[in-house]
Amino acid sequence: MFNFFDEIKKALKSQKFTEKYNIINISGRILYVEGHLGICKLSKQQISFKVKGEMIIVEGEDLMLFELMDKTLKITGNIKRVEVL
Amino acid sequence: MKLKNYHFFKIKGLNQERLFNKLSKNIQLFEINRLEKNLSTFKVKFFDGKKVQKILHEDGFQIIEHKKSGFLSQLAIFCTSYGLIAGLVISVLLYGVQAQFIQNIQVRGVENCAEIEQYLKTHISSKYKSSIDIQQIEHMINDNFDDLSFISGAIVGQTLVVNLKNQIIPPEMQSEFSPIVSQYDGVITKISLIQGTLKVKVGDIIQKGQILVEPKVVNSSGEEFNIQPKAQIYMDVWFEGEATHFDKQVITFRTGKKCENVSVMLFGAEFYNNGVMCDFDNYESQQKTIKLCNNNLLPFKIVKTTYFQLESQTIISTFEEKQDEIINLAKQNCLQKIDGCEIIKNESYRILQGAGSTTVKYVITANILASGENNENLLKQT
Repeated sequence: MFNFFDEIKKALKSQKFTEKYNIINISGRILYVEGHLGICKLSKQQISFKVKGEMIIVEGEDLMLFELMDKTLKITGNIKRVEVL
Repeated sequence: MKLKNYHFFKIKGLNQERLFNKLSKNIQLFEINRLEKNLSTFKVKFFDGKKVQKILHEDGFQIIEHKKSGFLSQLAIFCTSYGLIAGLVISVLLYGVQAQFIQNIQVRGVENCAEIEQYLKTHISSKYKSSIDIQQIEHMINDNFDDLSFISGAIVGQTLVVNLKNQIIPPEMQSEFSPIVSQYDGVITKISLIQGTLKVKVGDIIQKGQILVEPKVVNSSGEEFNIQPKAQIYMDVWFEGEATHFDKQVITFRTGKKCENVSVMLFGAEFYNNGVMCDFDNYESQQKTIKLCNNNLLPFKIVKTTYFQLESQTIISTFEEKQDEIINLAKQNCLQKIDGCEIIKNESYRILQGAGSTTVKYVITANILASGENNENLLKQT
């Protein structure tokens, strides 16, 4: 099956950093994350979660963890900033 | 993905992130909403509800609100509503019990249905279906009500249906017979009596409708009995037919020439006309109206008037020239009045002279079966 992330990784020809996580931001309204290791903070203004070796902070308004599964999550709301620490 | 059957939780407690991380290892969480620092809401699939509830209790979280939604939750509510289930079971049991009894009695097919229904209501010992003997009910009706030729009972649902038919007594049993009456005016020539009392004799002049045989007999003891009258009575009957010849006769006939006027009408007003006018001196016309279309909105009609040219001819002939033809015509007119294969005994005709016309009266004397029964025997004799 066609996987958008795999196609991009193949094009970059580098395997060092491609196994950590995938994030896709759809129009600043939905943020889809693959490879999270657990949420750290959850509020209407900020949702942060761990990924392999790093932490992602999502900031915005009326944020909601729309779906939370073992490895994936979906954040909805008015997403202003996605920061990698 | 929109959840149709889900559990909604509103929880209160510290370190909720840790809880969500723990839950998400095995359970899918939806619409996690942090309302306050220690207050949040989330949804889980319907079948994960109990697991989540257990974990929340184990981890010391307070469940402020817990709602179930969707068809499955309604079903679960129903399944745990023991009063409702008990009511349903009791209803089914009651229905099952009462279905074993008849509630209604229906009698059909006769005039005194109400009377028989009332009789059955008072005389049926039990209303329990298994103890009702249909044959016994049929015998009971037969013994207590007369004039019934057919009795059939059946239990349909909770109704005892009894179909009845009245006894049809043939006329012989009712002792009501009609006399044999004459169908014609004439003279009796032969009588063959089978049963009944004869009221006429050979040579009598009979009028139409007169009684020939009475439907009764008297035995040697002088007792009178009603009986179906049977007899074959033959009589001579006169049939008459006539034809008239005119010395001077005007005959009008179509010449074959015609003209046709066509007009289209709408609501009685003429819309179109083909302008053909009749220019014959003598004519007869035929008019035909045809609907142009079947809708009622514009009911156009075509009116066709056909004019046929006529011509008249005066024919002058003497009776002597046409005598045979007129006599034959009178005979045919007479024969038309005779029904079947009667024996023709005599034929005669009279010629009556009038002013400019001559009338032939033809008389046929036929021997026929006058008793009103079929003529097959007579036909065999001939």
